[in-house]
Amino acid sequence: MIIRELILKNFGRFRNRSIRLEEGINIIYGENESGKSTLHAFIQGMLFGLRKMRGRAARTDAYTRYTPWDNPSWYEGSLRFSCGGKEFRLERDFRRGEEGTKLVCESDGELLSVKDGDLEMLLGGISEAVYENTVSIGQMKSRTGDALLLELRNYLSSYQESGDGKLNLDRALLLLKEKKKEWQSRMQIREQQQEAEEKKIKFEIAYLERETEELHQKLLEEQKREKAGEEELRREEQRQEELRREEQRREEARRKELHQENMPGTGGTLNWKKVISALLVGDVIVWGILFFTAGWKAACISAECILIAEFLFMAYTSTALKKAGKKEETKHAGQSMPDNTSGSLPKRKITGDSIRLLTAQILEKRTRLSNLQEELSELQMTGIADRPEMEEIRSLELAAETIQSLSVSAQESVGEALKNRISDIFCTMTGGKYKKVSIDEELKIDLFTEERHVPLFMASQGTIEQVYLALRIAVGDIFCCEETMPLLLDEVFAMYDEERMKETLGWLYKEKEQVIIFTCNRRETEVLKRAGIPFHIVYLHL
Amino acid sequence: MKFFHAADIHLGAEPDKGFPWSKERGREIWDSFRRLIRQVGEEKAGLFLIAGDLFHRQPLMKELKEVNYLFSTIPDTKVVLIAGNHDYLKRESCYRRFSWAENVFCLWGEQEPCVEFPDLGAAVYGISYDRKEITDPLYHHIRPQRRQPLEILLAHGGDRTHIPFDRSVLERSGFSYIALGHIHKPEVLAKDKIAYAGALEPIDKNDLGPHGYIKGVYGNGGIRIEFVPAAVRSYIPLPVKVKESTTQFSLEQALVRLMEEKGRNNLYRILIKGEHAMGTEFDMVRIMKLGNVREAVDQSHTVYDRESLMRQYRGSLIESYVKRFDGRELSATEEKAFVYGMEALMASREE
Repeated sequence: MIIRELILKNFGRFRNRSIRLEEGINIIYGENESGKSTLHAFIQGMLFGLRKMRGRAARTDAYTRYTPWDNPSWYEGSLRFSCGGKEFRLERDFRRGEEGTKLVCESDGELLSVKDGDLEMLLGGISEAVYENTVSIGQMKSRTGDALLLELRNYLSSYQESGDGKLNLDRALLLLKEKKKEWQSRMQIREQQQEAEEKKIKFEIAYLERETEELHQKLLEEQKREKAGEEELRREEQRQEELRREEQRREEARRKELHQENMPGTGGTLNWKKVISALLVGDVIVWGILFFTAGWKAACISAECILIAEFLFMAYTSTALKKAGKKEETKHAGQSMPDNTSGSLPKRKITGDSIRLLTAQILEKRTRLSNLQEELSELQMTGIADRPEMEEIRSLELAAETIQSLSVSAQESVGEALKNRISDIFCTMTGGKYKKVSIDEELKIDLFTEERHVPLFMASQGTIEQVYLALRIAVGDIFCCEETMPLLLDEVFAMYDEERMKETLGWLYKEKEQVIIFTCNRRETEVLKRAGIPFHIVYLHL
Repeated sequence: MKFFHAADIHLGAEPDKGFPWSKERGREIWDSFRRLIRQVGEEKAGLFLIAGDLFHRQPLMKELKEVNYLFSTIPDTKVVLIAGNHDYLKRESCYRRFSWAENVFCLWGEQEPCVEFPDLGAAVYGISYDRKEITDPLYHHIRPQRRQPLEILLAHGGDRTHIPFDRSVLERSGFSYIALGHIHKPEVLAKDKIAYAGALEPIDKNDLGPHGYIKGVYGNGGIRIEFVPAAVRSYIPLPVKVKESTTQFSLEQALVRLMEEKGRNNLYRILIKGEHAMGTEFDMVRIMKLGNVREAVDQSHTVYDRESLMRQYRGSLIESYVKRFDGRELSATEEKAFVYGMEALMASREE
């Protein structure tokens, strides 16, 4: 593809400006701020459209940056180019995106469709990313040796890994790693919260267990005390029983004595017969005496009287005795019973109550304990199952793995071809001064001349820049194999000495269909003139 | 005769452990139950059926006393309850030892399979849980015995591990009404015949929708039931769609306004969807603090046009990356992985 003409209808600082370009070497000369980068952006914008970013990024995107200074509602341009022996005109209204794009074949007047991919076909399938990486080459940003080397290596490595020199895979992977860390810490925080919750429940459980144990001890004590109380009560009862018996015995003895005192012969129920016989004997004696002293009749009457009297007496004493016995008994019982009720019975009731209370408390606590244990196990279960952060972490890991595996396969597929191409370009560019460029696994670059080998870090800045240029051109050759693209060089030769510039420009003139060099000094034109290389020059004025 | 059917009251539960409203929710569940009992009393219902899980865990004695007192305040209503999988009849359960008020009848499954109320013309059948899980379809084997004109079954369960049942088998069982519990979402399985009352109050964040109890009338025309919403609060899903222009602050404002509109008392599950600007990530921690936010999930992402990405980055790793995730159904993890990787690649590409 050869770019014939840039027509900037209204773009950035330019208005109705047209710039013609030729085959071979074109020098676009202009001082700083004269609009060189605007032209750069114009070519890229014409070929690929100006991407409108959304949101925050919109403030700095190319669309906004090159919005016309005057009359911003008019934002148009066209580009004339030739390709495959035919002439084309591409027109864009940048405000309308793809809608506002028109592609016409000027050779046969055919209107082509950008939407259907006609432009893409003309560009040989080059994507914007590839264009940025290959067609358009800027000066290396770094000026110092080490940083320069690093930049070169970065480009090489990211190109090798991803086919896109602008892509920084290490940085992408680092970003993913950081994100993963973020989620991990989020998960940690949540887990800590859960752990704290678990701890709280565990603490509560331990506390409850202790309480239950204490209550249990108390219950045991209470039960022991109750048992002891019962024992004592039994012993007390036994003692009382003994006492009562003793009392009884004593009472009996006393009563015996009493009876013996009052009435000899009527000592007790046991010798009732004795009493009767004694009485009868007494009667006979008394009757005998009366018979002798008072005569038969009197004796008979008095004897009868005595008998009746005796009978009456006996009857009285026997009932009186019985009554007395009963009285004694009731007296006894009355004395011991109140003793019992007023002392040990309420006590037993109290211990019984407290045991019941304690058992109830223990049961209640046990229920709460088992409930808490249930809660704890439920909590632990959900902890295992429900981890939404894991999903994010897994996704991040998958993303990183995918990127890594893709980069490895990209390295494998383009690595060798690229290395060979760089070596070719660099060697011919330097006119055979260098014989070989070798790039090892660690992307260490070594240059070989006929007689010695120069590690790139020991080479001059100009050499490094030249290797870089060779690298970019090599990448372009690999990607743009269907259609040769113009080469845009932006202030590339600043660090080249005259000799190196001459050989490089010579190489470019020979090898490339169209080269567009943007520069702010006259060295290039002078070198070209001196070397007799034809070129076309465009002056940009402020 | 009027009857009330409630289930899954889960007294003693404290939903959303760790959230500021958890304790209060615990109290609200009790309050809701108290209110329900007052309502039962006011409407002079003949029966109050509780289809299991009255308690969240094993009831404490003091809790039973509290509940029993509440039951005793409606002496003219017969309260019938069964134990569910949460408050199942453990060997040492307080349920077994408690002596209830006269109007309370527990179907612990010890003697008769039912209680009869000749004055109401009703018999209530039921089976209580004696363990956490029962996989036998016990309700398939229980049949009304034609003891009373109105025969009700109190049943709890319906999933695989909690007495599974076949709806059609229950429908043919011959009961006048089957009062179901266990599933927290109220649902009528057969019109005026089989119904889940649902939880009285939502017990966890998945208990969406309305909650309350079922009120029924039994008369000449048979049975009529209706669901009565009674819960103090609801869990409400709150999906919001963001655009590229949405910022953290505007999102927060919109959420606050929405939550205000739908009731400050309710508990919200926020789901952020849509596309956000590249590099924007919403701060979920801040969103969680906006009010009664139970959950906040950010599913918004930068949307990529795969076609144009592949065109723009043809020949580079980005193209292969897009290809790797293109042309097939993606799992949720893969979908996320694609977005994460894409974001990282684009961010690394920016100078």
